[in-house]
Amino acid sequence: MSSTRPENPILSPALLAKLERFELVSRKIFRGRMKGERRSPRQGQSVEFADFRNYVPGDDLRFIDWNLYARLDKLFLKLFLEEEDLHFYGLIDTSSSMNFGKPSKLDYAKELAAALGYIGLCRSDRVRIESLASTPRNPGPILRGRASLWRMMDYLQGIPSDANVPLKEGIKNFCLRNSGQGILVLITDLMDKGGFEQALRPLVGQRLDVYVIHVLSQEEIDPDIKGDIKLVDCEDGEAREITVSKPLLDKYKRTLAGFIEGARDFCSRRGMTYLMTSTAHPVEQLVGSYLRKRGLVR
Amino acid sequence: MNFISALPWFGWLILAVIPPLILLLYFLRLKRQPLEVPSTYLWSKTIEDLHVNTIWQRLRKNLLLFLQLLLIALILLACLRPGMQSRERLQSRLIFLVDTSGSMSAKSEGGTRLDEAKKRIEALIDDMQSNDAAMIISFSDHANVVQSYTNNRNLLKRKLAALKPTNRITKLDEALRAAAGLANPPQSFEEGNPAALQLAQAMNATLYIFSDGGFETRPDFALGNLEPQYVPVGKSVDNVGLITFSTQENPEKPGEIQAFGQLQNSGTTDAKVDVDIYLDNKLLDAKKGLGVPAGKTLGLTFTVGQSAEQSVEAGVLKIQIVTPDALPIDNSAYAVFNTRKKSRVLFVTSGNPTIELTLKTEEMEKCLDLKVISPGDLEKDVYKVDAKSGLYDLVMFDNCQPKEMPLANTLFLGVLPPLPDWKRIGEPQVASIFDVSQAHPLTDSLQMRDILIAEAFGVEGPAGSLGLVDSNLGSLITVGNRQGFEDAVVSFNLYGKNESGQTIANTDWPRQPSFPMFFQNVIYYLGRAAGLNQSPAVLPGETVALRTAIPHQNVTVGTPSGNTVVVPRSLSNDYLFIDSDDLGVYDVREGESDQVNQRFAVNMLNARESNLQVPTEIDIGFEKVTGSDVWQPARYEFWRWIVLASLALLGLEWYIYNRRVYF
Repeated sequence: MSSTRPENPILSPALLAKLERFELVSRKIFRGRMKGERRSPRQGQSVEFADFRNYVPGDDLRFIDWNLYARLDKLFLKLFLEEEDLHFYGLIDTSSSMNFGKPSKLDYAKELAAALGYIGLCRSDRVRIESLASTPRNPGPILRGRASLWRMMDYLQGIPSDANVPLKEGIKNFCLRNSGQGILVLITDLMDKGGFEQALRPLVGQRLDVYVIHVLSQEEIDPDIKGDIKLVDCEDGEAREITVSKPLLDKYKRTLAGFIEGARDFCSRRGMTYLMTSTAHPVEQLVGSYLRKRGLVR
Repeated sequence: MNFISALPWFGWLILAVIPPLILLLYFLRLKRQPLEVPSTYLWSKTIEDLHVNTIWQRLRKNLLLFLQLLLIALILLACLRPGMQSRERLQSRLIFLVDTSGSMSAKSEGGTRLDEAKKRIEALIDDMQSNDAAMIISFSDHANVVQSYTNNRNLLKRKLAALKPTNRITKLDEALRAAAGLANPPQSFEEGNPAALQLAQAMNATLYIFSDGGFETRPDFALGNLEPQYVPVGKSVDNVGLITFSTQENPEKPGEIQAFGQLQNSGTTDAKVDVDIYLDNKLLDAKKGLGVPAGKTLGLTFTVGQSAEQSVEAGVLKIQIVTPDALPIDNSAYAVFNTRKKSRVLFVTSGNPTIELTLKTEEMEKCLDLKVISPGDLEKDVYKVDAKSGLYDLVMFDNCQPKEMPLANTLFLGVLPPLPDWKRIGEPQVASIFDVSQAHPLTDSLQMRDILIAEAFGVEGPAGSLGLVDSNLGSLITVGNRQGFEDAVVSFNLYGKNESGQTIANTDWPRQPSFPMFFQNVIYYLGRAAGLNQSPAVLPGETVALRTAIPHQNVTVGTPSGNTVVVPRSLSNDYLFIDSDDLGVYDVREGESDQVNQRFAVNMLNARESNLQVPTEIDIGFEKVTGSDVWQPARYEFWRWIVLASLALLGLEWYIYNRRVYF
């Protein structure tokens, strides 16, 4: 679709081949908008029989079971299961803090979103990938079908890396824009000075199957710093002076562990699925193993 | 512990600025490297509770600051050059000369002077660095290298502790030579090469002389590479000691012995002493309250044997200063009387009534066993056996020569010994005497200038011989050595013959008083008749030549400390006893005899040793070495250790910084 296709695509062909086997799963069954490949609570037109019901005037005559009318002299309407699509939302945190690490957390997030999005595209789901910086005027494209892969890729490539939108605001905006049902995969580092709890709360009220994928870079998990250092926050420029020592590093690690534990606890209490990952874990492994275990993909 | 500033004032100023600067840098945190992180969110939470007790936490975090402050403090300390007062040691090689002479056994604080010297040397040995080497030489009348160069301190201390005081006198030269031999290497001279080649590396050494003085100065000694340090041992104390004790037979009253003693007060105050004299451990006489003026001597005379019961033929006379003082060893002295020992003399003459008459006086017969034979008897076996067995003390040949020299001292009258070393000078002619040696025992106190001699010849003896009577012809009386014996030659006869063959006098010497005196000297000296009736005075450590009436295989000497020493006969028919270190009376048993045959006494009679004044300086060569009672200040510096510690600290800081191991 785009003529400026990047040299190294977000998803490698080998990974794409593997991803085709997967399928997105929602623990909740939602009503889709268009005919998809999954059963819907709505009865519709498909080959799969669901139930009978009494005919009421106005019903489509095509669905009357004439054989039953011949036997019972009563009009019954045959109901079929409707096969529908699934709404998949990928929400990427694009704050400056995501731009750290090697590979950067943002790249990692993009790759992960692309992988999950591609799974959805393959299953004809409705895929929408957005960043926290997306606005109602500039929403992410709604994609459907395998052919939309390149559009998705182009959009992901185009996501800016320095859009510092607070997590809370970004999520709130997302909720306002997308009121539908579906799966939401939020890929973030949860580094919000205001606290992630406030930010995630709006999601609770939505009819979304929420997955919070907490991405941390290796530098954050095991900092390799020494000496007297002035730490500068890349988002708000706040400075912290520390003298690195082993006890301090140990304390940092304890703090980090507490932070992760807090997030996990918060999410599980509110029906969200929390997964912490490091940029060191390959996306392929994450999708094929961790997310599979957690039931996001099948 | 004291300090010396190693920097000028502005240097200190600069250094003093550094610690506040470090602190400032720490609190201003000028050094902090900015590091952009994704978020300070977690870090803020991490250090949140660390701010609770900020000051301590801040300091606790700044271990590196402490280390840097400590480092600069150490550098400041090093610049102060802290040091400890120590003994000066000029070189890494030390030579300790320890005086072990008699005066070193004088009482000093809590011991003897030798103990004090040992203590000081031990302190110096303790001060030695690990690569320092030291040697110990003890000296009294001779030097003894107790321990050659070693850096083994324990060995040095052991050898030092084993040093014992002696009763000997002090002579420094041998010890100095021994030390110089090690410090000043020998040099070789090559033909045509004006520069002297050193055969060995010169070894500079500090020479410590631990002594209380009492030795002669050595004007001819060059110290070379030695750095002398004279350490006076002990404090000057007053002392009254015996410096002379001798006995003499009263020539007027035979059988009466006169004892002469001399007391020396080497102190600075007049002293009063009591003196006892014992004969064979029986109190013979006592003198109370003898006043000896400061720095003066006092003579004492005792008379022994005035009465019949006081036999003085043999016995031990002891003089004792009863008043105690610092040095006990010079407070008593012994004199021993032995039974007269007669000298066995063979006179070979064809007839010489003058000499025979001289030798047969009553006085001479007391000490002389004379046998006269004619020159013809020299060929007889009796003579040959006697001459070879060493039976005679003295053989006198009057105008005749033996074929072989006897094993005895000889006197030749008018002829030369049949030995090639002896030579005549010129033809016989009239001689006039210029000078007579008064130093030799043979011609002691002889007046011979007026003697007329008609015919004589000059004599030249073997190497080392002494001319005793100088004349226009050369020496007329000459003494030479021959393998432990002495040969004397009188180069003129008493008689000559005139043209008609009559015997006439060749000289008027027999009419002079010097003639019998000369022969008395001959009998006493060459004939080895024991002095009148006393044994010679022996100083501790001196070799005693013992003689016996009949030749024995050996003699047994009992020392005052109870040891017995067997002394074999030497070539010259005497017995050389060398272990004369103890003071007192030594018993001598000849051969297998159970009886004490003779005795001799060893006394520490030496004015220098009795003098307990410690000199403040000594002369060695042309150098005056001033003694230092206080040690010259030498500093044991610590700055090297501090710099080492600083380096270690720097390493620790580096480690902490890199490993982030904070406590």
